[in-house]
Amino acid sequence: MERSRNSRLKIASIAMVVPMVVGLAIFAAYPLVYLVALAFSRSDLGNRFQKFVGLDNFTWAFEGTIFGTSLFNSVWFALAASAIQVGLGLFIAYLLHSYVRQGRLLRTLILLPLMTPPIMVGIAWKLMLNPSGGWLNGMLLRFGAIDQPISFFGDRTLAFPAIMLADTWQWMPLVVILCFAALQSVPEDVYEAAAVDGAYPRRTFWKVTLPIIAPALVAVYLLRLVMAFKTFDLIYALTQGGPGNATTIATFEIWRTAMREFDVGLAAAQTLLFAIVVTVVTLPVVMLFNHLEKRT
Amino acid sequence: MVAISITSLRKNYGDVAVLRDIDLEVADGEFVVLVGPSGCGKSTLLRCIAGLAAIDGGEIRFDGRRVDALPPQERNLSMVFQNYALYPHLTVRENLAFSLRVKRLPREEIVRRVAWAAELLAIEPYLDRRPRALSGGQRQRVAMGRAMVKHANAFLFDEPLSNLDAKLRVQMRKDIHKLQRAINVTSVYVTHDQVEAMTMGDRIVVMNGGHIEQIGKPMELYADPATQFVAGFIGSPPMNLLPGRAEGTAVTLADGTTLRTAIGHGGPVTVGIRPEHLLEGGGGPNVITLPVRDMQELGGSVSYFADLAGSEIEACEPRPTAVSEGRITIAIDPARILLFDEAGGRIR
Amino acid sequence: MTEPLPRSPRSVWLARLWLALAILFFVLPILYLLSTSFKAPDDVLQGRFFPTDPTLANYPAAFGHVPVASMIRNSVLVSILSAAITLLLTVPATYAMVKLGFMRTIIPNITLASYVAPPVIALIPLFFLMQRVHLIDTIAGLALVYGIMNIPVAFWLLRSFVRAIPDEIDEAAWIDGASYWRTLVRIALPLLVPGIVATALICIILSYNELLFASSMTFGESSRTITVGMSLFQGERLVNFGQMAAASFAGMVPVYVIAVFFQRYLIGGLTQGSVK
Repeated sequence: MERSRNSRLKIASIAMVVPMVVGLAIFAAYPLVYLVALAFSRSDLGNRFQKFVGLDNFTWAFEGTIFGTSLFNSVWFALAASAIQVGLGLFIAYLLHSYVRQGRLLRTLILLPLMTPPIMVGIAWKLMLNPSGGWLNGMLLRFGAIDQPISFFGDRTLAFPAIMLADTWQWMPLVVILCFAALQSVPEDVYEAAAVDGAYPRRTFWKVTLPIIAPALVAVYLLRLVMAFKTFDLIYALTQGGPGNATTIATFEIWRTAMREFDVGLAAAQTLLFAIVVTVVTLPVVMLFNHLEKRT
Repeated sequence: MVAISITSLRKNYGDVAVLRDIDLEVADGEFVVLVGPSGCGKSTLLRCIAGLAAIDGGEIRFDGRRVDALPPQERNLSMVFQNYALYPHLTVRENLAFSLRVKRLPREEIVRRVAWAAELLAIEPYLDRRPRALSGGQRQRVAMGRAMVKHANAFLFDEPLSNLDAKLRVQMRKDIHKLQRAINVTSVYVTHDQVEAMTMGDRIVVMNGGHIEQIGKPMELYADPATQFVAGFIGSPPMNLLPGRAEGTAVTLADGTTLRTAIGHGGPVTVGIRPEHLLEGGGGPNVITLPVRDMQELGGSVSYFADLAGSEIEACEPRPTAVSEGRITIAIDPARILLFDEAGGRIR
Repeated sequence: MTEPLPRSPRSVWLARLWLALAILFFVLPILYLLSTSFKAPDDVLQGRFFPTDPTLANYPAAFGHVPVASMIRNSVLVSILSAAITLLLTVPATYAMVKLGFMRTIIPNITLASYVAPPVIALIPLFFLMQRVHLIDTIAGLALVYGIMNIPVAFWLLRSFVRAIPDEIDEAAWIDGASYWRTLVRIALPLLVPGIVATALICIILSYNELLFASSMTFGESSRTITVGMSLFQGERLVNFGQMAAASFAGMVPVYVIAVFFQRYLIGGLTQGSVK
């Protein structure tokens, strides 16, 4: 809507907006500036800005620490986990949309994983997958599928998939809810027209429904991607980055550098590099979204 | 009640000029209707008067006082919106009282005014209901009531009857008109319906493409349109318009048919004849017989459609007398023929 | 929702099977956690789903061993306080942006950028800042951090709710003489209640579940939240899984209560936000 321009409006608007902008400045702008300063200095938790060291922190991050690997882990974890979740989530949302009408109990149950604190999610899955006393190992042993209990989180190849399992458990409900909303937004008569035109449900889904909800799906993927990059609690609870450094992702490495090794300058440099990587990875997805939205 | 004076008003949306050089004087107590097709700028003009939209040039004055810099809160107007815009979470009574409480009027005064408006509009039974429990017509009356309790400088109406069904619309038109007469408040009323404009306005402002085509009393616009646009817009069924060439008082149409007019002119023209006047000129010079393509009987009148010089024309009369054996004889009185030049201006 | 198109009985059966499996998957870990909380230490090692010899001893032991109750209390306090802060900051700003047209391009962009950035970015600078203003290791300090941290989420949720109010209603209020603030408080706010409730709930949940900032900015027992408490449980060498499960489950109860009673608002909030 169009508004008149008058000073009363301007004053009121400014007053309404300023508190939030100040808050964001504290949380986003100030840290950014501070980080940049820290990154170029030698600092630790107790003694900051000891001296200027140029790009040393940045080069050390790649050469002297496992940060490069952790970046790689973050990226492929985010891309893969989000893709799996959107795929499965869409499937379940589709089932709900096409076959279920009433769903109050369903909706409550679906919310539970979403609302569980990630650390508890970690604990629950640790219990489930535990080599000594975990349910999954218990089942597998009893059925004779394995002779020895598997330490999922202690195994270099199995640890990440196990983490993805827990992560999928936690976040897929959100994807289901959003995909469901996207499916709902397609007008009913489109389906009816397709049916009358002779299309069976499968074809209707791939040729009609999917193209229509494509922008929404990319938006959901993007959202999950952004969230996946922020993962921390799960790693902390399940593997602490181990075994070795197999499941160390960037957020965990940064935290470790700052809070366990107290090298705040290095951590700041790592943080900036991480921010750049996140932007680079999410940008193509944003562009894809814009392209799809224009097309619809 | 104030007199509203608008001078040289200009408004742009980006590069597009939505209002160009608008001059309008509304006298104290006058009911003025802004009418025109979609996009002509009538609603925009109304919103400028209300202070809801900013202007890019010109002045708006109430009784000589400049108001165009004032926010809507300070212009002391009342506005009735197309979708009523009643406050959903307040009862009817609270809706009516809202502006009075903003003004901090004493409680007894508020009670008095609300009771007065409720009685006048017959909405007393609904005072404690919420808008969602009311019908469209009832909501409209509450919107009117909200406007009335304020004792405002002027009333603004933004197509308030568009969402009502036809019968209700006719009834509300009469009610609004009666009410305005009773309170005698300056009113500016926007509608796209020219019938509504003709029946309600003291004066009508016909707008098109951001500028004013003509301002006048309803009958003036009907009988003496200043432009081709006004001629075609006002009047139902709409005026027949045919291209032709004038030489003195004779006009030749596209197929060679000649008509005698009462105006001398030379050059390309558009000929305008109202459907009601196509069958009145018996005994005059302009008599043409045409095959009837279609007929519409509406009970109170009957319309005939025929082709003349490549264009479809409509003729109408109260009772079907003019047709025999599928042919109609039209007879046009030269005085009834209007001529418009290439720019759409009226040739007198 | 209108009736879905008719399907073959076989596909219905198949769909129901998949859905049942999905529901089972979602519920299993929580049920296992609950059931483990009733197991004695030897029972845990058995690896069966249900306890063979259920015991209630874990709960009092967990509560006695570790200050579970006070940690839950801290979490609840911090969450509610931070949600209030978030709403206080975000509601007027969102209204001003949507209805008054203020900073229409800037605000969405900066909130988006703030959201995309992983919180770890702000960790170090905020740590030092909180130290400086003596809010480190306090409930108020943590609530302030969360309050601001959740602004982007709250903004995007509230935006659709504010948009849903017809412009004409605000315009009618202005014509009636109501100032912009008055219109926000008396007209828009009552109409925004469902949206505000949904947003508040989501902010409460986000704050309650948070670990990174909580563990970095609080160290003392008086301000420790339940998530931090659980993470510490991990570090112990001899872990009593039964007690750990009991403490975990107890810690999850407040959020689950919200889920059960407010699921309508929550789903409404999430789906409203996704409608562009």
